[in-house]
Amino acid sequence: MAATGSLGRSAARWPGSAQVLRRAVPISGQRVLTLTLAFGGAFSLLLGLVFHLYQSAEREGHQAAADVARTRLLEQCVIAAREELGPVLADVGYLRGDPDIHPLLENADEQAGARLTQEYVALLRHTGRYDEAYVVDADGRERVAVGTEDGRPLALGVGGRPGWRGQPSFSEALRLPEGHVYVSLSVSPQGRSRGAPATPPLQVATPLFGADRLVRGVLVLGYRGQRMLDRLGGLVGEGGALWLISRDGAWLMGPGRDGLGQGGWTGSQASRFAQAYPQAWEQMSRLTSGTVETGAQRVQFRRILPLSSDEGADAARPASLAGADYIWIAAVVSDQDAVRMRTQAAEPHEGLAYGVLASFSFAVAGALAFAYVRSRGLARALEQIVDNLPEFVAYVDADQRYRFNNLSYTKSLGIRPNQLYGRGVRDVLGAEAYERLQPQIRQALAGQRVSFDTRLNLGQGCPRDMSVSYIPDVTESGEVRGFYAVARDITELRAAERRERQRMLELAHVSRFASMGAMATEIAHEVNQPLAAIAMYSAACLRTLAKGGDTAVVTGWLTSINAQAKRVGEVVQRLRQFLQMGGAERAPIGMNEVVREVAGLASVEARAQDVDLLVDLAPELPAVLADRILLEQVVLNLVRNALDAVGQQTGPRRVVVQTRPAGEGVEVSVADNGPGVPAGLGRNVFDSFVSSKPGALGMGLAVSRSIVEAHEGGISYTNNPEGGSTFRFTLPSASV
Amino acid sequence: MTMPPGPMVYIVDDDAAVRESLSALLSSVDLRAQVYGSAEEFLAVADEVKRGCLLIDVRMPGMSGLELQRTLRERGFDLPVVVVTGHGDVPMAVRAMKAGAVDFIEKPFNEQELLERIQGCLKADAELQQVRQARDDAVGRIGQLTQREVEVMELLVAGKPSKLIASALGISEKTVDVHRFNVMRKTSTRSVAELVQLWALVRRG
Repeated sequence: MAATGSLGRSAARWPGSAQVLRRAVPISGQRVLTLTLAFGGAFSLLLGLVFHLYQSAEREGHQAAADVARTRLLEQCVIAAREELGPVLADVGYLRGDPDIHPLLENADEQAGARLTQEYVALLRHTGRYDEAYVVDADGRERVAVGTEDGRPLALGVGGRPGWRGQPSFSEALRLPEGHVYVSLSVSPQGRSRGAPATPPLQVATPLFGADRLVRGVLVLGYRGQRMLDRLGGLVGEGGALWLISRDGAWLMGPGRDGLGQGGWTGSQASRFAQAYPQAWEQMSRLTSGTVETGAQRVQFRRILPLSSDEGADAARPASLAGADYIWIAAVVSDQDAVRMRTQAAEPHEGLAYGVLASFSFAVAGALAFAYVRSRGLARALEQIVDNLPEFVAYVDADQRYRFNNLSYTKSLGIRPNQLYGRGVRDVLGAEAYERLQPQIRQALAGQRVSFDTRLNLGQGCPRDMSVSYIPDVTESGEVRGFYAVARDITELRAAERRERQRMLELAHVSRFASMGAMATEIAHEVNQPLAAIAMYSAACLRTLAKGGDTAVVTGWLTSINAQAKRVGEVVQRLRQFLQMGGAERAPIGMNEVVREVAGLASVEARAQDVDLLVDLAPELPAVLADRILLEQVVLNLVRNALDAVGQQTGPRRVVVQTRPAGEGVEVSVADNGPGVPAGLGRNVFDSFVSSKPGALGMGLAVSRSIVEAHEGGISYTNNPEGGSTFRFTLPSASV
Repeated sequence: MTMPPGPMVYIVDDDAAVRESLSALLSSVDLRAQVYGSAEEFLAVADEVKRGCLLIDVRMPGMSGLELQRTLRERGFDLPVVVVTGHGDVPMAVRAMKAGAVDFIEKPFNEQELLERIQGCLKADAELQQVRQARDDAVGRIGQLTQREVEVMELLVAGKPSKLIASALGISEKTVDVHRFNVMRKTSTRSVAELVQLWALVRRG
């Protein structure tokens, strides 16, 4: 169980040849590490650069967004201020023209004053815009006074209080031409509202003229500043802090206690802006709008233009306003650090992201380095293998120029490895060799795989036998880009084949002499018979002639002598032919002729052993490409074996030699009616030194088999059912 | 076929040229020859052959020379035989000699030698012929004897006196003497010694 388990595992460990090759590639850990560090460092640097660019772009984006937000805030601020002050101016315009004003101021009409008081209380209650409303005569005495108590308007006692003389709202307004309005530029908390004023008041005053066009008094409205503050405060958002600065550089709305945050009325801080930001103030006092950088802060400012007292007056139209052309400066202040801090707030996350990416890039670099080292190793291994192959390997492109070659290829040409690339095939191989290879090259470039043997002289002296294969390199679209040429030098192989053939010829020759030796008795008999006849005829002639005998008889004998001499000559001639050392070349020969020749030779022995040697030849037989001498030897061996086999036989002895066409070739069979091949011998009969005959060397069938196989044929035997055995061999026909 | 007078040489060889040339050679020395192509052919006429000699080729298809020789010997054929062997067939020749051949000659042969062998054989045959005739004569003479006379003669030849012969055969001495007289008369012998000689001739045949 354990044994089979481990067997299974080891089989699974070797999945395929490609895997094995990969395993053979050495991978240096140190090199992988070095490359990983190098690649990873480079990747990280690149990533860092990209990150940096991204961050600056983001920072600039933040900046631009901050600018836009600031500008929008500023505009909203101006619009809000105008919207808020518009109704105030309209109220002023309306109240100024009240018909009760003149009776009150010119005639001291108390009734009119009471009516006005009622009216103002109603105004305060309804609009909610004002904390206070006064009518002050030219002497600074209050004629109408309405205030607020706990947020509710109420009429204050009119005591003719003279306190207004030093008030800017009074004294400035008094100097204004008709229809003009004074707005207190700074918070002036001189209101007389009882209890804590809900909001810092902002006084709006306008002169009141009598029918004689002389100034009779001033109308003062205490604008509830908190409204403005609420309105503007609601605007504060992304853009930064909204400041409102008076013309003399004091904060109306400025930094809160927590720095730039939402401000409040800061009348107590008057003139501090000009001191805190002298540079900014220097610009702001000169320009109607602009942006100033002061230290870490960016201040965008815009003047809030004066407001006309006329209802529906164009906001842009300058209105004379106490000699000034603007009321306040609205400024949006944003902290550059805030932008930076917003960017920096993302930095820990970005750092983490960068860290992850850098680690990832190192991981990728590691994989890349491993793949690189392995593929280089693989390439080196393949290069080593290809370079050390005995085969010549090259790649030739469609223009028949060399694009790749191994060491063997250039070595075979006798040039250095680097001298081949880019050169033309014709140029390298020479015109003669190229002419010979051209048809195959054309085939390969037509996309056909070609294999052929050729003999080339590649400038190395003697010509070499080559076995060449051209494998076309075809793209998926069917275009032939070139072909791989794989060639092998088979000169040695061919020489070995020739030597083997020569050796076999000699063996056959020796074997032939051996069979001649074995047949010596028969041959001697064949020669002796006519010689004996000649000797006796001639002796008879001599004796008869000596006695002067009958010439007619002698002539008859001499004729016989002649015939017998010829008979000897024929025998000798046949022997000589048979023993001749054959040429090594194969030629198309007729098997019938070979059988006839051998049968003639063997008939002597057959006759001596009283064997019927029958020959049965096919009338039509294709020629075989063979060495005649060798085939004669094969047939003779088989026939002699058959004769030996039947020689031990009592009764009729028969050997039949037959030829017949068999498939694409020729079959020759030799059948006998002897005892057959002993069962114990089996296939071994064709081995050397195996014989069933006492005193035999056992070479005949072995030699026969090697001869037949050298002719691409096969030899076999069967024991006949009626007794005896049949040996047969087949040879391919010459045309195959 | 009438038997011509004089010695005859019988040639048995499967090779026509060889047997014809032998025949020619013999005719050139005024010897007569009969040729046969095979052993069987000769055996068919062997009984009529009385005088001469036989030249047999050892190597023949069908019945070989040795087999022919053995067959003839079995039939009581007593003409001298020369066996012709091929080169290297010495063991076969030795067997032929043991089987009773007079001589053997190896092919190719010197014709003088061959002729001498044949002459020798014919001479032997001629001598044999006299012996043969003497024996025939003896056989003829003894053939005239009756059964009882033969019995008496065999005892006489063995050197037994008449008295012993009479007791052996259970007859009287007188009767023995009568038979003895008749034996001597029919065989034309004058003494017992002559009778012994004659009997020896018959026995040898």
